[in-house]
Amino acid sequence: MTCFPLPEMTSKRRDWGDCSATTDLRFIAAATGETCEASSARSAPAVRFSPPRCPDWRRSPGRGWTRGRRKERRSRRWTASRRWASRSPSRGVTCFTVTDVFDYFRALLKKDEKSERALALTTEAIELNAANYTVWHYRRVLLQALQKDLREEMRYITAIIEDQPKNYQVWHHRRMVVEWLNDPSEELDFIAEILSQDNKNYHAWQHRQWVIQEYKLWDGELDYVEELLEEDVRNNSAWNQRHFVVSHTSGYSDPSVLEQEVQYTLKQIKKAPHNESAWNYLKGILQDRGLSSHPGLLEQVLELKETHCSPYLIAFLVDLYEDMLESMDGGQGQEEPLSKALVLCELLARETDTIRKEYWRYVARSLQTRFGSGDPSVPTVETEPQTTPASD
Amino acid sequence: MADEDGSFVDFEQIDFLRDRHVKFFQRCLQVLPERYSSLETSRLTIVFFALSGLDVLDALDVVNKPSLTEWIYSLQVLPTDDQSNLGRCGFRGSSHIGVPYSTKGPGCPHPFDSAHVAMTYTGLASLIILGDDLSRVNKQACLAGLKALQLEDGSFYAVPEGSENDMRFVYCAACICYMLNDWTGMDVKKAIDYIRRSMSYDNGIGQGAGLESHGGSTFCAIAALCLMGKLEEVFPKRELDRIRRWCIMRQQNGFHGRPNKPVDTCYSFWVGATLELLDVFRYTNFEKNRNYILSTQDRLVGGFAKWPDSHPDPLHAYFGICGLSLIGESNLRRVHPALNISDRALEHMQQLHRTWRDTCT
Repeated sequence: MTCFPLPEMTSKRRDWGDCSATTDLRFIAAATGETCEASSARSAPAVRFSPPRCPDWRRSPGRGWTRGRRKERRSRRWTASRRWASRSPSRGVTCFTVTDVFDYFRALLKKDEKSERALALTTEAIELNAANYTVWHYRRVLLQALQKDLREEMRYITAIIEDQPKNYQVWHHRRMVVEWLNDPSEELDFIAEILSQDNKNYHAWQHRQWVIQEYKLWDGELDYVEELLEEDVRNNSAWNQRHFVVSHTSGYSDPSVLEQEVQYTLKQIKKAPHNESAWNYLKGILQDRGLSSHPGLLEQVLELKETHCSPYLIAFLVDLYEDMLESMDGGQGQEEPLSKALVLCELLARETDTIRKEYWRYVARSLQTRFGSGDPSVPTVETEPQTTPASD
Repeated sequence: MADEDGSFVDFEQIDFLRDRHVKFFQRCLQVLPERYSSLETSRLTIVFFALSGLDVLDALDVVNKPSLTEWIYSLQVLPTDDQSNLGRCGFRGSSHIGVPYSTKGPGCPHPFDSAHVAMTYTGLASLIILGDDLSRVNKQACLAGLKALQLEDGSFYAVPEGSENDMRFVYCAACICYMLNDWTGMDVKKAIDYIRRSMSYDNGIGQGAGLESHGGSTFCAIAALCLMGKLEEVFPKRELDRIRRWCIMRQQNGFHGRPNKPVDTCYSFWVGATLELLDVFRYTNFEKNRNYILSTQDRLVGGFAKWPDSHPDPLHAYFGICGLSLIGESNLRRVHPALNISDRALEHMQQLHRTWRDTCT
């Protein structure tokens, strides 16, 4: 990496007010043989970062030296800064630290320099902190000013996302480059690859929905969703995507589509009864037309109750009876569905969904208030207010 | 799973280690380990977690208030002499751009210096928590900066240069207007429309239209509507009941953010606060929630993690404590479930608003 002769950096340090140094390394500039002191860090009293040591080995109080916990990945920042430090000074090669990279970045930013070395610097800065949105923005400015090969940039972005799939900035950057190229042709495959590593990655799904909607790539997406649901019928993101695709293509107004979706969902429920996602989907596609208006549904669900029961099934029945009561609109025959709903609420409270017992009793009380006739034979539920468990 | 009312509770350690958490937040305000360097551009949010956390713990006395106040003001992006940067005003997350340190105007011209909506939100909240009177905040500039971030669809960018846009920033925008007591900073109607369109078929709320419903975005949406005073105008009772159901189903022991996902301490606040705003939090199971949160407590270094036996971090420490506050844990201040600051801090803010009103009339 070429040296950045920016001696004005040292005088800038004075302007950074109430700061304290976290590094004070010297480095040797390869090209000029100049010696400069790295500028001090710019952190003021609050929240500074300690310089990169070797995070792989850490001294925890009471535990001695440990290698860090299971879930932690090797720090990329360590790798990057170590790479810088490992070049031997005796061979006259430049040594940089995190601080140096960002000091230079700040200097170039202020100058709004548009050059290859600036672009190269953004690459280093991103490796050290891919969450710095200013670096990404500056990189975009440079990509356009220098008319860089955007397909090469896409390859770069792909590598970063593979390494850091939950980073907001790189996904946004990808979206911008896809827009500039006006070419989404790699996107669905790429996102599928990311989803194969974590099939609920919200960034991936968000990008996928944007690509599909922007470029009208609806074909084949329902098949993709079904593949995912085959792998894991409890994948809530896949169920959501199903709704996204159907609602934007055929829609649910066509009765044959609706029935197809209902039957598909019931089939998945039979395979895995204890699955909130499937029940949410079933309720979601029917609730605005009225759960009790769908012919044969009540019977199908009552049948399922015998062999494939779950808290979600019971709750669905409560909602169905509630819808029935609403459509009766105060007319005759309310006692039976009301009584059934109240019994089911009590079943949920006492047996099938006890963690929510206060809630189900609240639901029962609401139903009673809205649809009850005040008839003493209809069961009512009394509860005590919840107290905070002893915490001292 | 049957309820174990009468059975012996497995004695994991479920005592709340207040002093450890105070020390944890104090350390957050000093130096963070290098593995948190990705938070460089959002250091102000870490300050907020620490300050608000200490406030809820009633331990703000350990903080050097004047020093922190100056630092926060140094992050304000103020109008330049020619006022050409009004759309970029607000607060930065840190000094990472390298603008010369200054706690007063005029602003220093810089081609890339601009505010971030989450930093403006946490900056203002932190100042309020510190008891500042916001007299050095250029409110009109903040509001101009906020207006510049709103898109046609009603959502917000984080920065004027452009970024992703979603429900998180709608919430930040609502908090800013609420704290400055001035809703001219946004088109409320458009924001409401964005929220409405983000409601999912399953009655939760996603980050945007069509996206999967999520505990975080549901909180952002409902809390924003509450701050606007528009909750019942936007969602009739039937829809509120549906949202209540989606939210209350998130409790497994602690809470998760989406169906069929693992629980995580911070959702005890995101979903818990939403349920509180919807007036049904009292129907959740406090004991199981508390036991989960405390199982993620780090007994050695303090703070909380998302899961048991994981590293604590400032965000989960803060929301773990707020989650406990919601269930009425003793010796914790109450947290305002929409604005996410203590009742004490809220009282100070309300007093400020009264002063502003009196000054105007």
